[in-house]
Amino acid sequence: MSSQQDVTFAPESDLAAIHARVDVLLLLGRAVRLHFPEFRAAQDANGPPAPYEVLRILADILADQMKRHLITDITDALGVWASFTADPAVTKLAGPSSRIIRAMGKRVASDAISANAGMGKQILWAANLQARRWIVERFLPHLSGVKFDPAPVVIDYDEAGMRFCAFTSPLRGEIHWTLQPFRHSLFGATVVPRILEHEYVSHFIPRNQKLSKGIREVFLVETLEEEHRNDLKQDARNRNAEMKLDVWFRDLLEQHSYHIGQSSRVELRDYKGVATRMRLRSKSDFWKMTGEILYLPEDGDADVVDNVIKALSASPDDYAGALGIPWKGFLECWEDAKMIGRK
Amino acid sequence: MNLQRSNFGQGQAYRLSHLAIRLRTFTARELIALTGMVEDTVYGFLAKLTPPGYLQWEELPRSTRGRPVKRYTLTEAGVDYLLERNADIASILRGDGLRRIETEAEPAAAIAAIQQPASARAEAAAKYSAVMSDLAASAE
Repeated sequence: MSSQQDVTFAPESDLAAIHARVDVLLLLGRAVRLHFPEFRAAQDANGPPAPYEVLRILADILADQMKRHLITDITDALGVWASFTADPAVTKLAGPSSRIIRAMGKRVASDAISANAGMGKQILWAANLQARRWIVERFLPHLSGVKFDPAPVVIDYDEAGMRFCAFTSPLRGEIHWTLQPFRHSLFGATVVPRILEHEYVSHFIPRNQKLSKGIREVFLVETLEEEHRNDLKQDARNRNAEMKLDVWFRDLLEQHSYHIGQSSRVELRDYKGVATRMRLRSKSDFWKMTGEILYLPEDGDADVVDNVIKALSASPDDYAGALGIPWKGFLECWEDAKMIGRK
Repeated sequence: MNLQRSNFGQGQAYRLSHLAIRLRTFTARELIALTGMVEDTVYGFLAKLTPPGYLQWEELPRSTRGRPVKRYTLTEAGVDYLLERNADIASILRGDGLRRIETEAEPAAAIAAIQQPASARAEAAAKYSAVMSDLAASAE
């Protein structure tokens, strides 16, 4: 397995100012993540504002400064942080929250020095190794036969926010992580390993490239969420805090993708809840089903997978249970769904 | 929340439920901030989930003055309920009225049909179609 850092900038993004923005975003994201469990506990108790609203202030300042091209050096993180702590809502935070914000600020101050230029790439690679490790140790044991090395990571910059915040090129074996000057970016920077896990599970591992957006972006994302939620090896407080950051990020990203027409609320709704429902009813059948999706051959019928997930989504619990448990395979499940009119 | 409400109301109920399922533990303020919905909508949503045991709550110890904040946790029964209800709402928003008829009807005929051995499936399916035709006719 190669663990040698392999993070590069795409040629059109390989500019000093973009390097600086990546450094600033990722070092801020890391500072927030490290102190978030205690911040959430303190601010939930003493709010309003809710912890989410506080982070949104930082996210908006950062996005605005990136859009206005004010970030040209890693040390500009200090200016972003200063604007954040000067915000009236932040200055009014109660003592415990305020102390944690100061601790985050100390972390930012120690990271945002010229000697650390390029640290964004290191953070990204560490996140990539963490994501790969989690997939191998916690996710794949439910399945078998999948082996992979950490994928090289390519950094893109997308000023208009019209592309995906990450995407995978299976042919080249690369994962692209995209910096976008939008609110969701800071939240994403707090959960980079989760973003990369999604790339592995939804885009890198599946053999069939025709799986629908609903399967990749909803069903498999929910599968990941459920596994993290039930990962008892992780400290409960950290796990819950990380889940929260991930949900906030995905919610913002969804709103962004609806707004720019990248995906449709109606289209994705047909896939929501299926993974959670099936997993709750029978974990072993759920994994047989998920395994079949990931191993579906290149020439397998991705439409049938899609149809079955939609049928399960549209079915009341009794029907869904009868269709999916015990798991008989997508083809047979689809025949059953057609027979009882759940198509 | 009443499933007969407008599409706008259904959409709000769907979004709140979806967030609650994903977050599992949350405060009212968090839901308000995430959804941009007014307090009444969010507190109404929470109030309806608490008595049946779908939500549990704890008061967080404040270090400042003011009323204690409640942190809500969705119970397993609550997760089940909201997942099922969201599937219903999605169906209604899709304009798929049939699902509601089926939800209210005894699904035994359909389930029996798909649990038959292959040789008996055709007959079971025909019986199921007849049940569904009757239901659809009575709903019109």
